Amino acid sequence: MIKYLKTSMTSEPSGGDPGPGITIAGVRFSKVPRVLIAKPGLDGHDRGAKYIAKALRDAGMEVIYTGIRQSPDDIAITAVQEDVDVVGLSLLSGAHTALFPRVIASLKKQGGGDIPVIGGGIIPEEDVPDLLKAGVGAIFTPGTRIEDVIAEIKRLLEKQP
Amino acid sequence: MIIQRTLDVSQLTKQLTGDSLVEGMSDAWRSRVRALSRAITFLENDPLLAMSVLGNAQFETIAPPSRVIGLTGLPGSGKSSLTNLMVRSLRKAGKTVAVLAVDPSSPLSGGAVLGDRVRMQEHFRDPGVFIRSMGSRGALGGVARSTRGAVRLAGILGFDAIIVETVGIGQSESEIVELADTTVLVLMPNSGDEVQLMKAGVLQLADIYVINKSDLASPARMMNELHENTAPSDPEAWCPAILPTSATNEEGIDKLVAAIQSHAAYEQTHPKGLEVRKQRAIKEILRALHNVIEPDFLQAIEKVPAEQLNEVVAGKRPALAIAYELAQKFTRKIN
Ligand SMILES: Nc1nc2c(ncn2[C@@H]2O[C@H](COP(=O)(O)OP(=O)(O)O)[C@@H](O)[C@H]2O)c(=O)[nH]1
Ligand SMILES: [Mg+2]
Repeated sequence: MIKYLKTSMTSEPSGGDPGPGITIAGVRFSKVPRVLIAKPGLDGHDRGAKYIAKALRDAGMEVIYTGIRQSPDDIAITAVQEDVDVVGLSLLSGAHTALFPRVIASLKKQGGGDIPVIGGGIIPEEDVPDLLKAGVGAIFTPGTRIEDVIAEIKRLLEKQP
Repeated sequence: MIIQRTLDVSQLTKQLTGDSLVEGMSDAWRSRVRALSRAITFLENDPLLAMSVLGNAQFETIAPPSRVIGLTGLPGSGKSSLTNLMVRSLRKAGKTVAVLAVDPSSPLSGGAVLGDRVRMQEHFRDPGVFIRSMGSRGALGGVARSTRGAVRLAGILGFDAIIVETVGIGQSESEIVELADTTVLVLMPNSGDEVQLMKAGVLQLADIYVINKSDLASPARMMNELHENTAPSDPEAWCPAILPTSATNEEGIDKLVAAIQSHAAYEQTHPKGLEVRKQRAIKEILRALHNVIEPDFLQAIEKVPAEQLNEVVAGKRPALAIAYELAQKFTRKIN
């Protein structure tokens, strides 16, 4: 069972107790991480995406799953409304060089430019450096072990401010 | 798993009303939606700090109250599919809609897979629709502890309707009745066990009963049983609507939306309806009071001497006696 998390205030409201309508600036709070697992592109296979989703759930994350054939705008809008800490794209269709930058651009437009994007699926090793340069947070090539995927996502989540 | 984030609450409250824009954004509505989603996260992780956002008196005057519609019923009964179609129908009528969809959290890891959105894809790019998935996070009443706060936050943005889809596991779904203005119970034809529960009074709380999946089997018998078990003895009370639907064939949805509207009209004009709303407000205050005061209670309990606690453990002193003593201290403080 989840215990309610303690929030610490980095700047105390004057007068001690937080009351109605108080103004507090920097509140540091603990949260359960939220992850969007999305499937852009045209292929209809979501076994891999669902497998990742369950693994992340078992690692204690809340995973928002939206189904197949999502456009970059669909993904960005969902990421923002769900306030996720990271967006994971599952790609099998080979359109990754086009899709990643479009998702990143769309996120910026929706006010989610701070949300890191990662991806996995069928992505050849040689494309990885360019994708990382284009702002993708991490890429998992075929054969990456699920434990390594989880460890990397955890690292990314803890790195953010 | 737990991570740390920082939030500027005073900035956030301004962004919610649109008095200030989220950094880097020029579209006022999108910016408010971004602020809403951040605010929900904040409440979700620390419901006790809800006051620091929702206590802002300024919010009360900016938007007329949204209509809150609760959807409950067993997992798989079609709540998300019906929500999708209800949103479509409300949008056609020019109404803006927020959806809060609660799914169960894993009691083992605290994580969750939240998949209600899969059925609502057609609305993702509609700026008049906001959808938020929530993990139940250990709460057993069908909604998360922060769902009510999330409803109130969405209200600040002035959505015409707010639909809450509950977890829908069985019997302890009564919290939705307190939270929603109109509660819809989604049943299926031939789900005889549920009618047994109704007879026990457990599920006799809804304002509208929907028998979904009526394409699979005739809803007639179920409807009869419902009529027998839900008709109020008081002729002035709201008489629950009982409607067959098929989300798959998109049938019965307009009637469902119309029934929700008549229930709203009843509550807004009929003296009995006004009384029901008053009772709901009292319950909301009571629950909020409970949430606000709980940390103080816990602190007080921590100060109970160990020997007294041991006596309770050993069955030599009733827990109620300790509670009574503590309560007297608190009431003295209030008076
Ligand atoms: N035949 C039929 N299937 C339906 C109907 N409504 C929903 N379903 C299916 O029932 C399953 C569960 O639906 P969902 O909306 O996710 O239910 P929820 O768990 O209550 O939110 C899905 O496979 C839907 O396609 C209906 O009216 N008729
Ligand atoms: Mg559902």
